[in-house]
Amino acid sequence: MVTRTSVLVVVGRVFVRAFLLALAVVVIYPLLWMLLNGVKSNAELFANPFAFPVAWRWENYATAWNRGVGDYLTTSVLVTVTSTVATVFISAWAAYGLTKVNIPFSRTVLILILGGLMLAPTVALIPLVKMFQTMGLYNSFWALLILYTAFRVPFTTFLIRAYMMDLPAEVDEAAAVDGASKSRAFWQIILPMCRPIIVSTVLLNILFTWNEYLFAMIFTSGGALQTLPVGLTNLMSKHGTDYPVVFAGMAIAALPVIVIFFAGQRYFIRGLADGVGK
Amino acid sequence: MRKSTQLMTAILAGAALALAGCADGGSQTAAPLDLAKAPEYSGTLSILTKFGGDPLEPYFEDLAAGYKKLHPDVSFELIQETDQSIKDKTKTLTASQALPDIYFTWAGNWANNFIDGGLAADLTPAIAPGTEWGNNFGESALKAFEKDGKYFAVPLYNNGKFMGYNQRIFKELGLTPPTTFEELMSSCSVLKAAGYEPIAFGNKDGWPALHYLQQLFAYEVPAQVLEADFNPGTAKLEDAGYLKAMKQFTALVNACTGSGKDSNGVLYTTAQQALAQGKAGMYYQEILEFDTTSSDKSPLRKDGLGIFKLPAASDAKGDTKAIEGSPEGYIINAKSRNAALAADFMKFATSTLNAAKLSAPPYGQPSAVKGAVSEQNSTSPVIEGINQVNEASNAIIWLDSVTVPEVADAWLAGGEALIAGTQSPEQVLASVRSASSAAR
Repeated sequence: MVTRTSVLVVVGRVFVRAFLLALAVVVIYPLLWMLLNGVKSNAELFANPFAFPVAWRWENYATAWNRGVGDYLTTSVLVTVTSTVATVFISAWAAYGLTKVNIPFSRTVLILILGGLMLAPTVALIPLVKMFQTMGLYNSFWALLILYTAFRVPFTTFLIRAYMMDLPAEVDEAAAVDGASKSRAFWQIILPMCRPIIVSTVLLNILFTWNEYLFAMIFTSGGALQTLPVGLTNLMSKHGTDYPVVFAGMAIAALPVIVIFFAGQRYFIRGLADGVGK
Repeated sequence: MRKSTQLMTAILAGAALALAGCADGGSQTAAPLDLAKAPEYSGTLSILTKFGGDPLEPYFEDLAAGYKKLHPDVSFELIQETDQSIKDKTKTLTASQALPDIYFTWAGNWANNFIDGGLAADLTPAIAPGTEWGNNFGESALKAFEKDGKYFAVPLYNNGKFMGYNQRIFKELGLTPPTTFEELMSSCSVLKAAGYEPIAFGNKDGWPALHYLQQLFAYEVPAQVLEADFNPGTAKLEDAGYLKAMKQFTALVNACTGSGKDSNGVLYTTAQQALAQGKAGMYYQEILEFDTTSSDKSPLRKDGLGIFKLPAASDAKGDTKAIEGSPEGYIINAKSRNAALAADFMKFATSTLNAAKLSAPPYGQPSAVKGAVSEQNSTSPVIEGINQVNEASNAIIWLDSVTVPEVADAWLAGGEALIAGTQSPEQVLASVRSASSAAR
């Protein structure tokens, strides 16, 4: 017998699935549109922007690659990997020191680190340019590495510290009783236990660094040092842009982040949810 | 990837402070550059270019390599930016007081900011018309960077705005390039009746409307009045020619374009493609666009791209020989220790050989050096356009860069309102007048 409740449950499920499907279309359609327009000609793109390509011009991807996207991708990968590794390790060390070790003025140190969250990058831009020029770091790989690490450490420390605070104190005590040094306890016990939040912060830092435009635009110039967000604008010109090549470049740029996000999404959600609960 | 308002505010504030600091309490132009002094061929020359990205990037790299071959002790630091990034980069470097020895500039208000801030070397003794170097350039190109009788930048390439038309379509319909605004409007009816979009137009970026308006203002407003009105300090903006020009523009949008009142939602590149694909009869464009619109793969290349100056009304009261367009150039930093060397490098960059190289593919930037654009390196519409710019009585700088940003913004909003039909020409002029008074 069909009851009123079971009908409501079915209607509810249909509604939820329809909503999720619509959400998926909203998210996936622009990506598909970008991929499809990346294999059209400029004329086709402007004549029928929503139609399927007449001839699939995969050579647009090769053109985008040869027009610098390959170099921008290499730079982006290098900057992203190095700054993410540096940020997460510095932040994890800091968080460990602030939660598991008795250090003098730890509260002041905490305020100093978290105070970095209040500093908008745009405010610091002009003194930073002057400082980096004086130090000979302007227009160098090191400039981006230092900036990305420095500006991400406060937030990453904030997240990891919140996670570490809820780890049972007995674990540290057991490690100490077994004769493990603080350093060994960090590397072999605490850090592995923080895997969900570490993966989450790694993903967040990758997303930030991969898409960052302001610092990359101001602190670098020329194809050899530019990252993807800035480099892709080089493919566009006021007086004539081959848009399918730009779309192909954008697709190449988006692909690594999408893959990484899907690969790590389980940890990402868990890490953040656990962190929020602290 | 759009830059935030925060960024612009912070940079502008910094730039304003830096320029104010340099200006020492008021407008302060730099002392003339001592070009009699022979340059020391050593050290590092830093250059901020707008040649970033493909295919322009190698041009300055090759120039630097060529100069280094002549003077091995000179090294270069190139900061190559694109259309998108050059404004933010220049503002940040200005605010950080780290402008390079040579840097890119547009003509008009942009260049004037550096001149007034004492950051542009006075090149008058070297490049003024009548000097050995100055004689290489068209006078209108040099005048684009003139202020109070002094010359402050080296024009590198020239540009101008023309109506491009499809020669095959015009021939089939028995049309000839119109010589008056009235003839242009009649040719629109013929094209429309034949099933073509008479004039392709897209104003999503705002400046395409300003380009029409500025050329029509030049035709309808007496030159001296127009010149005074660009400067908020002397502007009255009361001439009836403004209203007439805006009415002409509105009539053109409504009668000649396919998108009409919806043109504010159309990209200019869509309009460009409509002419390139033989769907539209005409498209108003810059010389720098000619080779893109009529690219090898486009049907327009086969049909033939013809150009003519936007025609003036038969009873126009302004300068009907004026043409809209301005060169882009390079300023030598007045505070540079290498100013003499920088001037020497710019002479090298504007030598006949390098000017011809700049005008030829893949760069295709029509050099401001006289005679550099030729059949050997440029297509016939480009040659015709450049010749007309060089012969024009006056080159009128783009409306969005000739005046201060507040007034330019008011014109930008006005152009969009005229297209959408939400404001009358009288209302637009009133809001521009009010923006100009506020900027005084």
